[in-house]
Amino acid sequence: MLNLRFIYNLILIGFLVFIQIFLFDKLSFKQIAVPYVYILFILLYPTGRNRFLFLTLCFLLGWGVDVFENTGGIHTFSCITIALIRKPLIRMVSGLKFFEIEDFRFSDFNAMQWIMYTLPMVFIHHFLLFFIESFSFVNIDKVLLRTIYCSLFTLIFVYSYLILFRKRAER
Amino acid sequence: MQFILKPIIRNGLFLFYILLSLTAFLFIFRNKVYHKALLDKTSTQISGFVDQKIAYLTHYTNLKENNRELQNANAQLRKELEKLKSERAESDTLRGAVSNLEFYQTYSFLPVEVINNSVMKEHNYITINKGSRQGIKKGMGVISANGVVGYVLKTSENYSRLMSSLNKDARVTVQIRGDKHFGTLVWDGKDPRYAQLMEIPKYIEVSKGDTIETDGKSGVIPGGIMVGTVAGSKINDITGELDIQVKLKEDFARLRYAQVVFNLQRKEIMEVEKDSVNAQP
Repeated sequence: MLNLRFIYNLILIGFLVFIQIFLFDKLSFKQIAVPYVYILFILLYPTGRNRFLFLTLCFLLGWGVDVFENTGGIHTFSCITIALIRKPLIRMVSGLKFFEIEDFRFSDFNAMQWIMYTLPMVFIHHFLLFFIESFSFVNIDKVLLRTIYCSLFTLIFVYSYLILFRKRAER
Repeated sequence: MQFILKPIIRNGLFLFYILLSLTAFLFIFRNKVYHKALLDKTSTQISGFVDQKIAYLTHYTNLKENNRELQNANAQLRKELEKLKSERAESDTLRGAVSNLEFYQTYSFLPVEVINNSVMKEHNYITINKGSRQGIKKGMGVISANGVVGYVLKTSENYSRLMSSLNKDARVTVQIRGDKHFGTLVWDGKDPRYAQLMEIPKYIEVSKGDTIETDGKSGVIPGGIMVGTVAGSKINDITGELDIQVKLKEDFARLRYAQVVFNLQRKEIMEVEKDSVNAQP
């Protein structure tokens, strides 16, 4: 478990938490929308690896953000939830059979599939985040509105990353 | 045995997820754990250090505006100083000189700089660039020229974390100027420009534009600081009290400088209050 890849992932998580807290939290648009860019880790983690380890890493990532944002555990919960639904979602979007999923790589995705994959992931993450923060159905309209704003903002950053840096990962 | 083990193995991932989410909810709802205090200190230290660096780079951008605000505050203070001077001269002629510093001053103020702030969450926190080394303790009040900023929640050596007034858990005792009826100022988590004044009975006449100021009963925030003006009021159907919408004077999104309040007689007040609790008839 404690191999080079694991340590690399830990460093990556540390880096993501750092830029999330000190860069992207301050990039808020008119104090309404904040991009939560750290979920790129969950979106782009390779499939076919140990899922228990993946859940643990997501837990660490969310917890790191929580500690610095003083939010208790809401990021943690949102992160592990989308980490859990990731594999079924990939299977659904890519249309692969059960035994083919082990060979799956993200470079197989075309543009439409990328959108179909990232949109629900980001939306569910943000919705859980704001819903647990307010923890009531009273201002559900406000929660949904903030979810949509923040999701759009996050998606802009996610697609920028994909377009700029993801090309060289061709098979 | 296989009957029990097979479903557990098959659903192992989901069970692991349940375990982790329970931990997450524990994080959300727990309050007083020793490790949290330790973690708080470390995270305040780290984020304080980096936020200080960022604030150092960015505070040049609104230097002009800050200067103007400081000038205004200076002018205001000078005006009050002149007023006090004349009053003091008057009382001197009546009673002779009183040379007790504490007679004039029970509060002292420590200027601090806000290095991290947020306004759009429901529970907002502020980081300032001074801490326990400068004598800041948990529970102290923090004010600015335009109102109450918040309360100190935790401190590290050089930084402190405040609960902002724009936090659903924050309570500030305030009164209506002139009328002297006191109530509690809370924030509903919606609009950072407005706060809500509760517990004012409905037979009190409140009109739009009335000044709301602090009443100084809490002992951590001096009285007479203007917090905002009344923007509207309506009677709450459930409690039968007035719900007053208060337009805050402080623009929290542009908050840069604040002052931590030291009450020099805090110890004395606490001793008196403690004794009165113990000595019940």
